[in-house]
Amino acid sequence: MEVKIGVFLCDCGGSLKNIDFARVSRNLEELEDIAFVDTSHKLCLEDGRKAIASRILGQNINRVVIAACSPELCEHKFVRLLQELGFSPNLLSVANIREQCSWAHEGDVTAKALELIRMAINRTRLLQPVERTEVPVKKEVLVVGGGFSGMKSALELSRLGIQTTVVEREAVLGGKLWQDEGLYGFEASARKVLSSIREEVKGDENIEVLISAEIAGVEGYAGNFAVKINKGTDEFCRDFGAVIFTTGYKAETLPGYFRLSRGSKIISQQELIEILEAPAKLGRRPEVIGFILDAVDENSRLGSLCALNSALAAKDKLGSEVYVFCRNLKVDSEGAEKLYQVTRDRGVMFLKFEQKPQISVSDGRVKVEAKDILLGEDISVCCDFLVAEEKALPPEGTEGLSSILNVGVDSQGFCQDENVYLYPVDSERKGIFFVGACRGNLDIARVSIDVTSAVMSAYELLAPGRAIVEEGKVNVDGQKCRVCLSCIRACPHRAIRLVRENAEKWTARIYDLACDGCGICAAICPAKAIRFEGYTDEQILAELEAIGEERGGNNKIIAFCCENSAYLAADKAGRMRLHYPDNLRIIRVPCAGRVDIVHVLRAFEKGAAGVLVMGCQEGACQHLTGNIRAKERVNYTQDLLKEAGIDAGRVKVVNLGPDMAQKFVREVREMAEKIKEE
Amino acid sequence: MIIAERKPLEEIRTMIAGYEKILVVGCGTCVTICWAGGEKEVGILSSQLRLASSREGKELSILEGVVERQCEKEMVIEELRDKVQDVEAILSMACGIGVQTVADLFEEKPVFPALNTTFMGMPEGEGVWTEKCGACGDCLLYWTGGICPVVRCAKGLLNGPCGGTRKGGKCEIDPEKDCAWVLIYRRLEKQGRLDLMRRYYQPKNYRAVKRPGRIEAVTA
Amino acid sequence: MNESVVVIGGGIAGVTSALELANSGLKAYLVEREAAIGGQAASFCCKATDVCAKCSVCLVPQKLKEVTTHPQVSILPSSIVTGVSGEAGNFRVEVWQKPQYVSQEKCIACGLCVEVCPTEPKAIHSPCPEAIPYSYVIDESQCLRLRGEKCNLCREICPTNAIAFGHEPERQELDVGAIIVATGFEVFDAREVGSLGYGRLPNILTGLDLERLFARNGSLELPSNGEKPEKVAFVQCVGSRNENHGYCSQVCCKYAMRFARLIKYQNPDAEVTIFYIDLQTAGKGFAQFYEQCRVSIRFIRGVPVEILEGSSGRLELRFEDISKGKTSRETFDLVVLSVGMVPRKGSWDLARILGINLGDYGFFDTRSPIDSNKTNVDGIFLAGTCQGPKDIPDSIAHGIAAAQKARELLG
Repeated sequence: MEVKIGVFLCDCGGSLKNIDFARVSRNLEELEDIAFVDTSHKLCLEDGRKAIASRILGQNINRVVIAACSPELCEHKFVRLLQELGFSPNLLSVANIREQCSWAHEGDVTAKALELIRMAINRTRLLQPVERTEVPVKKEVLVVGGGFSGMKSALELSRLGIQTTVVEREAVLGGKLWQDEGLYGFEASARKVLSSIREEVKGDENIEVLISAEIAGVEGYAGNFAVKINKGTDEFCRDFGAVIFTTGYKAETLPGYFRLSRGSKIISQQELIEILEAPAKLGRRPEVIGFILDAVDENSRLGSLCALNSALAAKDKLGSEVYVFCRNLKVDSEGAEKLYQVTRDRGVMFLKFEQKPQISVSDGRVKVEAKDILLGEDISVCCDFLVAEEKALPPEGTEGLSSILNVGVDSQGFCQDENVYLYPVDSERKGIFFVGACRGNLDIARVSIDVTSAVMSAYELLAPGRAIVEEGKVNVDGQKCRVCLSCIRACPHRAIRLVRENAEKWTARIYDLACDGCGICAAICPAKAIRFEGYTDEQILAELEAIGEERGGNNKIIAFCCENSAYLAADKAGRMRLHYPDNLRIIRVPCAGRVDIVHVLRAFEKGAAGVLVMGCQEGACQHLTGNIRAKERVNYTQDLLKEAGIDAGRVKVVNLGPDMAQKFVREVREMAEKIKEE
Repeated sequence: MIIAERKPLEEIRTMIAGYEKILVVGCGTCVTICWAGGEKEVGILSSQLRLASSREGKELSILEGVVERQCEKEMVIEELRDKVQDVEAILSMACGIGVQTVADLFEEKPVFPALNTTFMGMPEGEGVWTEKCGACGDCLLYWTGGICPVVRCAKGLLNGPCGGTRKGGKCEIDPEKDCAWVLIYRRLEKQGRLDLMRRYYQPKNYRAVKRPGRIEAVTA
Repeated sequence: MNESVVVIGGGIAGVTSALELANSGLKAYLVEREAAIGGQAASFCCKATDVCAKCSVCLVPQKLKEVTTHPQVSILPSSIVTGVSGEAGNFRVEVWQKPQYVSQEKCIACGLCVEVCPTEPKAIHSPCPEAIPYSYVIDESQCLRLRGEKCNLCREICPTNAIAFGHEPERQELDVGAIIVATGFEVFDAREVGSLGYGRLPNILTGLDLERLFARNGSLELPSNGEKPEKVAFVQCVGSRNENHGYCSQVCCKYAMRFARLIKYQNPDAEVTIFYIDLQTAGKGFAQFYEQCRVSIRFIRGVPVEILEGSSGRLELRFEDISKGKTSRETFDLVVLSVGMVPRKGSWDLARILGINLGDYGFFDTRSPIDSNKTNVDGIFLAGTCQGPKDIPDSIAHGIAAAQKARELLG
């Protein structure tokens, strides 16, 4: 079908005075497939939108190009308008002639504005519509781990009308909190609270409990997970819409530092609690009880909270002298500082050290020697009992689990990659959540919030019973696919699988609901079998076409800008009227990981003198590895350029946050200086 | 599958020097999978060549193409029959077999290899391929628990380790490599077939396959 | 049950709640006191060096954009809640909107008005660059017209008729099923500690000042003379862990360390010292960061009590170096006071209007530490720092949780 484009220019109330709109209009009207070029003062407001609507209904156009302020501000308005008119919103491009053109440069910018619009027109010619369809999702959640978090998750889901299955490795529900007592910080006994929760779970129709069971695999994708469960000798498969992991943590109760000779009076937290429950069993009241923190784990909130509670309890119930040795007391939890004050007021003594204390056995008691920095003196305390600091470790089997699930862990080995875009409870795989202790959040207040967050996220995904997706927006051409598995390995959201439908050829298949639209797969595919509508190679290269003058005679800088960071920084620079050279042309991409080697090389072929690939800070990519891949590709491209006799410094990766307008401008200016040198 | 690697650009440019219109053709099978000569790499190489030429003020026009399997005559003819008409030379990004297939079919056109065919291997992870098989024609994997000492032992030993194995089970010659015989021992141990280690393997007949190899299968 | 919710406060927690409510099929009204949403975090800066510092500030712009474009969310800017009646499932909320001299719906930020404004500095001007919505604002104290004089210049030139004077505050009534309070925090006013010289001596900034400085300039220069500081001190626990504020503000140690690393990254020769009581280093992904900090940053246990004017415009800190057991004086170019979070001054009024309790230190009170979204009133929930100090990820989580509670109530 013949392409017919309607072009709408907005001069922002007539304020974009450094663009000659009449000249732009005349120039564009001469292009073959342009049906008309309209100019407006306020395209985004009602009048402007009405004008667009009447043009669309009147003329027979099948593509729309709008040149106005940043798409970050206005695109959604036009998308909504097009949807209301029954016009596919995928057939629209917005050229940013305000924040990234008129506001960003001194002097006349008509030539740049014209080029930006032509870039948009070139891209728009090749745009294809994308259908929105419904994907059914299973309205059932699997909770892995039947401790406090697991049970609470199930109960909260049930209250929202969602069926849940809880899979618990042990023979009883309750987890670590049941084993160890101490709902640290609260009046009620943990076991009492847990018992009542357990009863609630048992009596809840929406909750199924499988004890002495483990999961062996999670296949599938958000809304449709197929989980293999092992219970005893049975192995069976069940389908779920979402999976919430609440596998808790493992405590090393007597880490090496605390292991002295047998029979020494070093006890675990649990043992102290048992003593406090039945002090009469001891016979003799312990005169001195000591706690050591920060000797084994420098960064534990839970350690501080437990010690504060236990120390207070020991003081109150046993009347002993209580000492707490610590380096930095962790009070960044609600109520912790107050608890600290109360504990001190009750006479518990806190001794701060810089060097770890020495512990030894002396006359059947445990001697703790440390330099108290407040007194500036060496202190020696002989304790009847010394309570060991626990070391919190990731729960048993985390490594295996993350490998089965194909998700990451953090730098301490706990579940859930550290990338901030996953906070609070998401994983790379949509529909799989990590809650509480297994992701390193050990204090009960934060754990409770994690539970509720995951419950809400799962509810949003599953409650409607179906999810709306853009069908095939990123899709694999089964015929071209060489089944090299590159995309499957590279997809950060694990949204691609190997399938073979109807006994036809094997191919990779992208699951729309799990796909987050980064384009890393499209860039990595060696057979060019993956098409990312809106950002296909052809569409990107078409934008580059509009830039070309003769090769080698040009001074343009192409900046591929990630929409989560650099594009926003560029807009901010425009708002702040930070000026930079006007030979910059920005191409917006969903992620720096979409940028391919051939895009950069073609940019140079089309006349660019420099190329910037700008994405998020390392470790902060919304798609986890996009900016790292961009960096590796650019490094490789630098070698390729060197081979071809071109200065490798003409292509550079820039990492920045969305607020870093100054850095954006600095990098552009630096590149502009560099290319001038030739 | 066959693993290949692209030649340095300088070498490639020397080959095509003097030609102003060439066809760069990739292969959609092995070399696509090992990221050496698929459609993507055809695009990259063509870009590089054009950039390098234009830097020197030289003319270079490139036609790009991909054959699904460059070692199948029918597929080559189908894909390239028209494309070769207007070009002066062909730069093939296939393995050595594909290059020769194209060269045989279009004898009047010079055909050059853009890749060095290196070994037969498999992917070890993303972007990493390792050699597994040496095409010796007399497969002894039965005896070695599925691990080939011909290729994976630096000395090609057939009867156990050389005695120079480093700590951690690493090869004496290449400390990055695992000693193949340690791997073989462990594998046979797992399978309870360690008795096979006692077998004395005669010196290998490296001429088990007459070179150049040729097989005539029975046509059913 | 009414299927809509009022969220009071458009900071990161309120915005998150509104989004989650909207995504779960409810309608959300986001009532925001200021002209723009985003709260405190919208003005913060990215603190990455060559790697992400996990400050989570980059999560904010996306959420703001999502909430402004979501069809199920209505944003009410320049608005406050003045009355509430009814009960869980059926509240009636009275909202007053300040006169919007510049209509946010019509302002296209063309800037023509600024060109004709006769005052200096201009009474009408662009908002800060991160403002959403990006609409121009009028400074009432500067504007001739609002001071009673005759002037219509901006109104006449505005191409979209977005400017109108003579507006009255507008009253609205919203019928909703639940209310989420997400009014956020204020930073401790460092002037209350006179001996630290904030506002009196040059080159003393608070943590908040530093955020805004970096967000605006991208680098650190001395406010007094624009030069690069070579010796920087961070003073922790200003306004936290004391008698009136007997809590830890949870964010200050981390932001101080992140800023310290950033300053050193931009100026490797600078010496940065952090004066602390107890370093709060717990939290996902922080252990490694802390290890790296120990290498390049000087940590001194002992918070300075006094900052004096030193020679040549520098600052002299008097402190006790507890590890060494002696008092000391040291000179610095720049001092950053790591101020903590305090409840907003309007909390008392809002608490009274809603009938909810305030806790010990003026933050809104909750039923239990493991149910920290619920207040003493059914149907009224808390999200974010208005309930107690939190960092950005915890505020987001708390906002999601508040939305869940509302969803649970409304069935």
